[in-house]
Amino acid sequence: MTEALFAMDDVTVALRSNGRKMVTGVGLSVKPGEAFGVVGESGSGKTLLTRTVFGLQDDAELVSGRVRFDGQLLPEQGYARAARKLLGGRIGFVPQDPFSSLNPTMRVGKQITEALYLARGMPMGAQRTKARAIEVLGEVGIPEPELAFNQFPDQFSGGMRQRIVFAIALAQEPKLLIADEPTTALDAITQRRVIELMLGRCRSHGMALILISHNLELLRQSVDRIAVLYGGQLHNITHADDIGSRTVHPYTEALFECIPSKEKTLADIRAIPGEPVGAGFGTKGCAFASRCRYAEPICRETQLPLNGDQPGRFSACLLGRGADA
Amino acid sequence: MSYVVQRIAFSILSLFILLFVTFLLSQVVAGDPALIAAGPNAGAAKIAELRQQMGLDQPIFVQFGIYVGNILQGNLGTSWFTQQPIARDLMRELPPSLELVFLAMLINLAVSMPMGLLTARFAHTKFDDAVRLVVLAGAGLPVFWIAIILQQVVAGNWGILPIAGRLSFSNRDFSGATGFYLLDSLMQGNLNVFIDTLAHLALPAFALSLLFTAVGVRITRTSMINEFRKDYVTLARAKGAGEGRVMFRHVFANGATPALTVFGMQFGWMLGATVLVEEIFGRPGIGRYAIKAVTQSDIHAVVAVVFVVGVVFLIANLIVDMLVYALSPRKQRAG
Repeated sequence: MTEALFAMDDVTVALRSNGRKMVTGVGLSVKPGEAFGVVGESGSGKTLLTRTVFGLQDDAELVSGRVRFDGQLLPEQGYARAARKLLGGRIGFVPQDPFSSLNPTMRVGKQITEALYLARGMPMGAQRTKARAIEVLGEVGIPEPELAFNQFPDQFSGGMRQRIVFAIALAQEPKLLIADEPTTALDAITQRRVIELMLGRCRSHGMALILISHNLELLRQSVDRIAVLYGGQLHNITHADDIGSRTVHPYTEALFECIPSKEKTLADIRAIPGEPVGAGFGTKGCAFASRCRYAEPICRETQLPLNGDQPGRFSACLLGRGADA
Repeated sequence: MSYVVQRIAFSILSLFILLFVTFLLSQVVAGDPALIAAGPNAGAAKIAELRQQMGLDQPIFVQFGIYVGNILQGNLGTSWFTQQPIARDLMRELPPSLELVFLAMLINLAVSMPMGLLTARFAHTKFDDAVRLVVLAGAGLPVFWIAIILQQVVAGNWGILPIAGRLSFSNRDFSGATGFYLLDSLMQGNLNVFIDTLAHLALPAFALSLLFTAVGVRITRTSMINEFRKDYVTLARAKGAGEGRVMFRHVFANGATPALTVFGMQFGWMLGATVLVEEIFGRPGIGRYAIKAVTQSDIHAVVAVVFVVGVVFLIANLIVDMLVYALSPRKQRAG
């Protein structure tokens, strides 16, 4: 088995203000060049987890767990600072909202040359830096990249802006790209185009991708493996192909049953009963037990199993469902 | 380009409204100017003749036309009290006030911008709380009280800065082309007067700036906090930018714009607020001139001050809006 590029083990994230543990005991790993998905409903803690792990969340901190990147273990002391040092060079990040993720008063070109300067030390005003920026703009499918170089973000549509944000990350040639709900603000067709572009470029550049989304179907069709978060707990890591074809974790199964498709009639689409539990459920018992059709008394009382940081499949189901990997 | 034209047209419209209001003000408050001009012993025929001469028998809009025409020619009427053309009085009184306001504004900006940015970056920390406390204290204390305390302690007890006036006695003969002593002394290469002027300005400008700085810090903080929440800040950090670069290259330019608009308005308000400070520090200026005019019932002088302060307010806002426009992507695209 190849050495993981990025791995976290038993990671717990708590709010700084009151110490409340929002995301608990998450372990997962991503191989070099792998496309990895993280799925969860709104409030499941997926964004909080990623932002905190990469030092981008001011009001939360890692209170336990180990994080490794490229063979290097990140220190407990000054964790956020160390994690942020990895950004802009070795790890790229695409935020959620393309309409606010570009600086509105800075020309598109400068936002890319700044990225080149920060990651590669290329002087911002140099011709070759500009040429490289235009090249990257072309690579992400911006028409007339020379023109776009001198334009401002508000002259582009949402889809084009997300391509520009992607170009910024791509220009830095990171080993791992994290995209946090990169297409949620976009319409379905634009969504697909942007995702396909990201997948294609990551593959051709040998970059690993962590794609975070609430949309299981989108992930199922685009990534290799998917981690499923619920109530701040890691419930399942599954191969995308397994979903719908073999037994998976009951929550993953329930999420999949919500997705409409050609093969399903309206009666086949089943909403999950009850309201979602937000992040911060803790580690005692399964957060999904209150809504799970298989739930038994043990599900509410037993400590949830941990994954460790090994690649492969994992199911936290206390009844052993989906764990037959 | 159309925005600039629109904005200037808007300023001209505002100017006309201001002219109309001050015109009405002088009509309502001043009584019959012909009666006053003729003196107590004049006969009815003399008064009627004067009334005709002054255009007072004309319809009101014609009178307004005459009023506007006079002002456009720089004629603001004659002061009943000083018997001088009001325009000449104001040309003498405006520079010291503007000098005071400029310096107070400079203090305001120099404190508000960095403090607003830093308290936004470190919002809800002890640092933020401490600044807020100081700022609230600054906003809560009356200007005249601050001014008197400063005068007593810094100028009186410590003797660090002059107590009152615009220049030291030894420099009493100084005069210059513009009336702005800071500018005049520099143009004449007279460093002694420059420093003397600055020393005399320091306390009044500081006293005047306090309240405005308190508001300025809060406004800038709010505006910057808004920016720090945006995703482009996350993206800048994700690109590997340090906090200094994030603050000054990204957040500041975006967060300063909404605050600038407030600073523009503050400029006009400050000019209106010079009254107390000038009185306490014994400085010549438009504020003191206004007080004298009011107490002497010198109506035309009062109306002229209102008009001039209004014009300065309009100009300051026009300049700020142009500046905001020049900084916006909209402009840079057009240009």
